[in-house]
Amino acid sequence: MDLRRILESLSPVERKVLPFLKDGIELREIIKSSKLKYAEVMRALQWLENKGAIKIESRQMDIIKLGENGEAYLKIGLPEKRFLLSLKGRMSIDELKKSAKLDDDELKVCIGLMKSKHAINLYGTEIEPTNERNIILKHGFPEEKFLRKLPKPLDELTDKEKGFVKKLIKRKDIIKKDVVKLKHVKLTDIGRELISKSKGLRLDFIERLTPTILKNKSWRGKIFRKYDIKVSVPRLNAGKRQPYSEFLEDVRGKLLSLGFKEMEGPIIELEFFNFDALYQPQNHPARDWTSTYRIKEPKYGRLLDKNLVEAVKNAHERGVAGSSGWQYKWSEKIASRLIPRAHDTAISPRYLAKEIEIPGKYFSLVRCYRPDVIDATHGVEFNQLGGFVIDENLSFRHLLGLLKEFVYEITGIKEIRFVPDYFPFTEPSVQISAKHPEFGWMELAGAGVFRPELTIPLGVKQPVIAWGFGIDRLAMLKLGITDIRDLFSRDIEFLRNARKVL
Amino acid sequence: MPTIEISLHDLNNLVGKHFTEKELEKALEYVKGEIEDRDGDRLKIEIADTNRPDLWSIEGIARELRSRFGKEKGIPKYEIKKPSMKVIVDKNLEGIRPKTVCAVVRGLNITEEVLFQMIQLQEKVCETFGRKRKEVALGVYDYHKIKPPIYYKAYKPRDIKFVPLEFSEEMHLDEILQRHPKGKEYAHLLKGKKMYPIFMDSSGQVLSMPPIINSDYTGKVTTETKDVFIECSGFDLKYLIPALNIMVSALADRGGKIESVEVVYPDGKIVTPDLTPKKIEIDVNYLKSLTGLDLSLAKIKDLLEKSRYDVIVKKEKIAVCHPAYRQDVMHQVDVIEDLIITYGYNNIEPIIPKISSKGELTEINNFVKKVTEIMIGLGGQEIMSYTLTNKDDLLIKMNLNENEMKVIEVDSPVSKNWSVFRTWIIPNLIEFLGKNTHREYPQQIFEIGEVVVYDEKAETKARNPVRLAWALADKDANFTKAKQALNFIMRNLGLNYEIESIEHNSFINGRVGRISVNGKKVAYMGEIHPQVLENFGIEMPVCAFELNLSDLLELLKK
Repeated sequence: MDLRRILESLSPVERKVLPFLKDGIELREIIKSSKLKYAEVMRALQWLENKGAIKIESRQMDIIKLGENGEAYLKIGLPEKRFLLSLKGRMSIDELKKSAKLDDDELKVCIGLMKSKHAINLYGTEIEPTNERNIILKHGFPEEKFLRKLPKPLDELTDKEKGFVKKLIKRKDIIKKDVVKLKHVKLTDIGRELISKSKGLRLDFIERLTPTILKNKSWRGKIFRKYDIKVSVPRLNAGKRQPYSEFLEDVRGKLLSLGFKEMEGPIIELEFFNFDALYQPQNHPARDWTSTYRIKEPKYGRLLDKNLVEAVKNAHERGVAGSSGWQYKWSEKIASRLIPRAHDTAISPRYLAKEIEIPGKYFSLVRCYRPDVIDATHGVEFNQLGGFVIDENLSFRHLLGLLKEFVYEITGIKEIRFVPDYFPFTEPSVQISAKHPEFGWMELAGAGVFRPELTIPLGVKQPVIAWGFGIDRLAMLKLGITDIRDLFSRDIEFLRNARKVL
Repeated sequence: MPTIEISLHDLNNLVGKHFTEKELEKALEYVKGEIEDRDGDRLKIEIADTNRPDLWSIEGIARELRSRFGKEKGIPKYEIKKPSMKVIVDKNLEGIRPKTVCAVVRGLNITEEVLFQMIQLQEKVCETFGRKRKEVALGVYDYHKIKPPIYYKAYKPRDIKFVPLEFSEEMHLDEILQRHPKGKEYAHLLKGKKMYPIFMDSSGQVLSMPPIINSDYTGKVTTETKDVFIECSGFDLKYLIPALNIMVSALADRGGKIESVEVVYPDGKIVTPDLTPKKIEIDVNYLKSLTGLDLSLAKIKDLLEKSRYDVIVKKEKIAVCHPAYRQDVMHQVDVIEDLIITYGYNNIEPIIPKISSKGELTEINNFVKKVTEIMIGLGGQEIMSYTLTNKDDLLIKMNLNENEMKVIEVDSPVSKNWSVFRTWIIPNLIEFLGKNTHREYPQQIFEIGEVVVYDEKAETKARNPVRLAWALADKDANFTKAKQALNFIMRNLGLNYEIESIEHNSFINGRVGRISVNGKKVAYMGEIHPQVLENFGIEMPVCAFELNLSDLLELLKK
């Protein structure tokens, strides 16, 4: 960077600091002489370093600081001072200790010290000052003056002061030694030139463009102070989508583009729609196909459509459309039991029983609930994507075609495999595995043709292709998440840093 | 889904073909099976079909594979010898456990592996198909340790005693229910009964007390056993007959010779097992339109025979017979699926259905999409929570009385953390803020989602309206900030609102309001009470509001 450019890009604070810089000058000296705050000086130095004008260096230094007692002695005087002041004539040691407010340690030190200076004589438990006492008191205590100067770097001390350190450091908590890193500035050639050029130089440039400047047009003919555009700025946390929520919206968008209409249904569902209307018999292993929660209270809902109930009951007990049925006594009570929706397919019979478009394509993307171990791949609450396609003359081949299209639209994967599977409400049934470029073959979706025992009681005569995706697993792949619980992350930092998924 | 353990070596022998693991993986698709785990020769196989108990043993799987790999075709033919023994069923079992079907299988070579499979099948059939022994309990006995005829009769708990399996002392029936591990496990199946069902032979020796436990002497089958007597007890022949058929077919596949048993009921006798195939008509046009495959009659016949059906072709009509161990065939679709599986799903050319239809979101989700845009514009970080929560977070830590709101609770939750449905979303936001106290402030967050509220009038006694909750945690968070945010939303939606002062313990008194639009209460808003913040460990002021989007949408539609 040429010097002029640098000069034009100096910020006000840099310009303020610059005159105080000398080779080797310490940070605290700059702060002291510039009367700027620590943060301001540091920021200016950082920027100047970025410009190549200086180098910020640091060195270790021993600092002598006041200890806990040292700070107290500054207020009440050193123990030996108090000792001598209180010792006016022959007196008992106890009395002296009391009037000089010394503790045992301090007393011991004082006696030792004053004895070595021949300022006292001891007579058993009594003590008497010599003439030396008055001389010492007259001289005063230079140690106190020294303490007042602390903290100070060790190597800045005079020999006399170093002598104090040697003595005082042996005593309890008067002074202590700390090792600190001291920052100082080294000027580069650019820096030296910068200082000399900036001296007396008055650059008439605009720091901030303001409405006033615009209004009075004073900007004309002036230059703007140049910014260091490489400088890092504080992070901005702005409005942002939750990545999983956005993923689900994208999936909805894809289904819309494929011509699907969205369905909705209750979270608290009747077993009737979750099971019975899907031809899953009561008290039969086919009903255990998924484990299901129940509601504590209220336990039962209402079966409103009596005709529908009768038709479903008949299909279970006696069969329809040439089926033998399940052949058992169907209970309306069990069917009216309330559960948290265990699969999205519970919504389909509600729609099939109503007016629907034929041909028609329908989907739902909803929360489902199952008692399951809670770990990195299982939760008790999850999203399911599913739905159905209805038309005259739909065949199993259409079902496979539909799934192939789905998998490609939603995952972009072309290599898929169909595997026979079991769902109590579809026959034939199929599972779709797709070959993920990174993770290999994985189960993605299940599908099948709704059994006639299911569709006929709902008043539907056309074949219905039903399908469902484990959307949470897809989301994990897409979002690069390995723990399913992170889909519902509680960490704001994770959400703020999450990358937009395309 | 039942998982069964098999030996690959044993399977290879039973099928008459050597499978590599990869080949087996593919072959298992015929039985909707998947290898879960492998340890040397031992494989754990998960069978997806919960309605095919005949596949829950190695013999059943091998049977299906033999026909798929051309070793056999059609229904396996099992010869049944005429009965040589009787089981006499007493009238006093009525209301206790009144039904049984029985069989004898002779000439078995019971190796350790055969024994293992026999016990495994017995367990799977009783536990899963038999509803944890309620509908089906199966007992297998060493034929030579019993003295026919066998009596099936109910006794009072103290009338008789016997030595239950794995015990050495004689015990009364009630003692067995109290002290034997199996007795304790299954005692509920006989709860409230004054008498308990007992199989006893003509010498007065107890065989078993179904559905609890066999006797230690007769009910222990070992590798020494050659001939077995099998009883199957319950309430409904619909369950018992297939269970017995599955068991005897598996033993017949091991070389056993089936012999029937005359079961004499008070009102007449039946002879079991009955392996007569059942007939079902197949409509060829329906088959073609359902599969989308244009198959010749000969091809259909071939595929069905490979799927273990017997096929009778009469001009354009096909009738098939399915084996008696299959209890799942209710409708021709069940047969047609088997046909396509044998054809091979991956040999079918998929066609994309050409249906022109218009895609559409639900009204509420369309609205949610718009509101989300507004919220992002406002600068909020969207979050997403579970709708399941707990009373502690939802009410107690929010400074509310546990009974303040009617909440819908899950019965026997897996974890207390997820035991009730949220009735409002602000607690989710506060809990979230409580987990991020070490992160940079301000934290402006929002969530749009369903809550579950009790509604006596609703079909399911609950509704799940969609709500929007917003919160700001910042040193300057206050009522004004919340009101500004709410005003921004309302302005974007073109709505005016009234605000009235209310009392709500989650908020600071005098700094909380209820929002109404056209007289409909749609939101509340305020500064969160410091006690609530303390409960969640938050040392930063928080203001928040919650808005009912479902109600707003209704208002907007008017």
